Amino acid sequence: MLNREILRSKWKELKLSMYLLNRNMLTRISIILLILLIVSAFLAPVISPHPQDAQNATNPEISLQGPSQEHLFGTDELGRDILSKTIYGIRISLSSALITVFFAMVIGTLLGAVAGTVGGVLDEIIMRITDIFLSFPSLLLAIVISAFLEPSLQHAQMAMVISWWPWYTRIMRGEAISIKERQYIKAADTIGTPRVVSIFKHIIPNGLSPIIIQASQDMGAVVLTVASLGFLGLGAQPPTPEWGLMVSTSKSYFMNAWWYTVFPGAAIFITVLIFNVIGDGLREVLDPKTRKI
Amino acid sequence: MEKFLEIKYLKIKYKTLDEEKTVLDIEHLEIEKGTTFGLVGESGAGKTVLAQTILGLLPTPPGVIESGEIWMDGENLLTKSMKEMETLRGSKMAMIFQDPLSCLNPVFTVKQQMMNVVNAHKKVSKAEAEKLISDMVRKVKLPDPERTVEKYPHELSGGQRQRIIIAMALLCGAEFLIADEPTRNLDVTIQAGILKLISELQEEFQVTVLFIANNLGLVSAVCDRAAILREGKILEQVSAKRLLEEAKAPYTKQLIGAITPDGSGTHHAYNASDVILDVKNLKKYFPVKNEFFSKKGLSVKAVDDVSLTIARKETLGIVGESGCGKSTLVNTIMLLHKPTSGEVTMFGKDINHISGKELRELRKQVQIVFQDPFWSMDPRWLVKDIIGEPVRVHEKFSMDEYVRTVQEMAELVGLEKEDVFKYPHEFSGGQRQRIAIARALSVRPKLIILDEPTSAIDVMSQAQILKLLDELKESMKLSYIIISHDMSVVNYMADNIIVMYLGKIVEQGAADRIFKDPKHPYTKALFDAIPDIHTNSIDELAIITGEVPSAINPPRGCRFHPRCECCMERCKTENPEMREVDGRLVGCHLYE
Repeated sequence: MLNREILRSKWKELKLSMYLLNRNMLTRISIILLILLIVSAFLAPVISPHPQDAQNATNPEISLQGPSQEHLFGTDELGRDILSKTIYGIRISLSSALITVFFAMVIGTLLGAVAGTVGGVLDEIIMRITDIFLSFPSLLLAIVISAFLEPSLQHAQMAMVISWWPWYTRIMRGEAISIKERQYIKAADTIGTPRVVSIFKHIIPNGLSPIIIQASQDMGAVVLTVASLGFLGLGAQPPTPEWGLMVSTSKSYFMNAWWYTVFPGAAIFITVLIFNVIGDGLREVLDPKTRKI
Repeated sequence: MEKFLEIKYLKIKYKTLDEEKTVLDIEHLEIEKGTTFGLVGESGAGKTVLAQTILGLLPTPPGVIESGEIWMDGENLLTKSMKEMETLRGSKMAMIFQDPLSCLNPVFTVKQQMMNVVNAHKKVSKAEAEKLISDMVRKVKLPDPERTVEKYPHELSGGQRQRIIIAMALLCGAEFLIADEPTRNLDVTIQAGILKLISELQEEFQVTVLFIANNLGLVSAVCDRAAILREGKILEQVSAKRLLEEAKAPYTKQLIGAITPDGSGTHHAYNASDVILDVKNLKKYFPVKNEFFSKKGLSVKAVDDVSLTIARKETLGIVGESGCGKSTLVNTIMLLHKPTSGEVTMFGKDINHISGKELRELRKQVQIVFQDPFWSMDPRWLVKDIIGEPVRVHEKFSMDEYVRTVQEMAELVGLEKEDVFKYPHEFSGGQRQRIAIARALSVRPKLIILDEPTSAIDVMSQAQILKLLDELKESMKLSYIIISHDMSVVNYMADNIIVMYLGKIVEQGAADRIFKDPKHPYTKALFDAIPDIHTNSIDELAIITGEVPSAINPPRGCRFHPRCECCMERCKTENPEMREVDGRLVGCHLYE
């Protein structure tokens, strides 16, 4: 009975958020598209017409054929179905975005909350380290890492986490500093609540809104960076069906096989757009200052 | 008398996506020229909506003006265009806001901002504008006008800022002033000065004032007539001076009753030998950090040589202006910081020499109820976790026990069992304060500190909260320390009071004696500065001149002497000792 009551109040809150999100037409369309993307990522083996083409199969006899009924997006230089490869590419883009943002967020939020709440020397140390990491452009860092280790998707993700967490630290630290002054933190202090509990139970939950907004907007940026690294040959390696890699390979055939470049490129474009629109929508829900009534 | 403002059949609705609500429904309201009209009501009654509508600043949407007319000096304001209203605002009508700091732009000096006002409404040369400004600043009685106007808003005190706002409002000859609780954020001693200023300027410039307040005492002191507003409707219009006799509506009577709860002055028996807290010669200095000139030994003397005791079931009231050291004293008692010197013995233990487990055990015994129930609770927590926060820290309960304890506490303070599964924003101010009380009680402490427990909630809930606190004190054998600027609250609750000024106690003793016959000049002035329902004219209010001096460099001798009416030569050099006068302790040379 107890849990039901709690669930009901949480459900009420969720309903309000969903309502606010749904109010904006563009956000609503983006959410539907994102759900479609996630579903097709899970069902990739079922819905792609030639699942084996996304792995290793080669059919040189039908290389670089234009869009047809059999191959809706055409085929590549080894005769593989581009539609199937693009669908499998969703898996890579979404999982990279999720993994990278998740790790960056966890590391950044924790460090930021500690720095902001504790202050003093610890704050100085954490923030100076953050500054150092912030001074590397993420692409450059990825290039350096793949120069030392071999280029792969995992290393690209690692490079992105390393260059992304400082942003979250900065945001969370600012939030923590302002939340720390609120009266319920003082109340917690007078009650005797340990600082660690305060950080996890009061400060992080209350400072999470801007972090979530930042995260949803970073998703798009990560998708874009993964594609850029793939394009430069520093991320996923062939035959991984990664969009950036596909665009990169296609550039030699661009003049007579436009479909090879356009469809993976469009996939990148649409995915990034979806994430950005949803990010803006979330901002409206979570940040009342920008909310239009 | 000539009527200045007339409102007829005004109906305003707020439309949100799923709701439509009438926020203002006024049939008829008339304000005569040159008078002060009071508008009283609880928060949410529609006071601010009315003010915004008159000024043409009602946010639309969500506000919708359904029907009605507002006639001011023969013109219907509601038919005017935005542009016309813009010229009217400032030149013909102006507003004085609650919070003077947020109305002033922090990056410009006061003078620059006043210049903008003049330039927006009058075509005058720079020299003329400057003369206008300096005249007006003199009229609002700012000390050292030439230098004050060159300052930035943050360099001024709250009272000075409010005077600047008033000066700006009158700068271009406004005939109509809307004062929206202009003294809410000010100390009582400053409040009296501002109220007096408004009424003097009103005489001089013949302005009409709409005075918005949530306090009947203020209205009866300041206004000529008053209207009681509730849920957008005007319940009755009465003469402000004869509120007590004329008020007929039951709601108005309730409001009057709510100011002075029944049974005021009946104090409770307690055993003076049962001392739970004994503070002796407590001093708390905060060192001043100055990066450029690190002068050694410079410090803010927040609490300077304070002694007090509290017995079981005793209620101690602490009274004083902001900056007198109340909060520091309380924080020290809350064990939030260590005293610079002096002894604090709590439940037989010296807090200077305990740590670890004993400290936690002591912390459990002292809990606090904060002033603002909206900010003292984490908005993301369920009420059950808010009430249970101390329980989680101090006890090891199973989930079932925990919820049972929390629900028990909720019922004790008059909430429903099911209420603990809601979020704080689902409650009204009064109910939230009940949650705060339940939180303080949940670990069954012995001493509760009430930091302005009723000042942020509606008048109607105040009396109920006070009654609740009174009952809890009996049933749970509690001691209270109550801090409030509302003397009727302190008078109702406290057995003993201490009056503090600039870190020192000036008067200390039984509450009823001190309230009946204050001895120290500061106590007298403090009590006389507060308007109540019986105050008929602002002239009855006492004004303490000047501002509270800095606690880094307190005046030599008696700390109150620069502002004291009875200041003698020896007050300037010699610090008075606390002496027993007529059954209480007073620190003043007058009684030697």
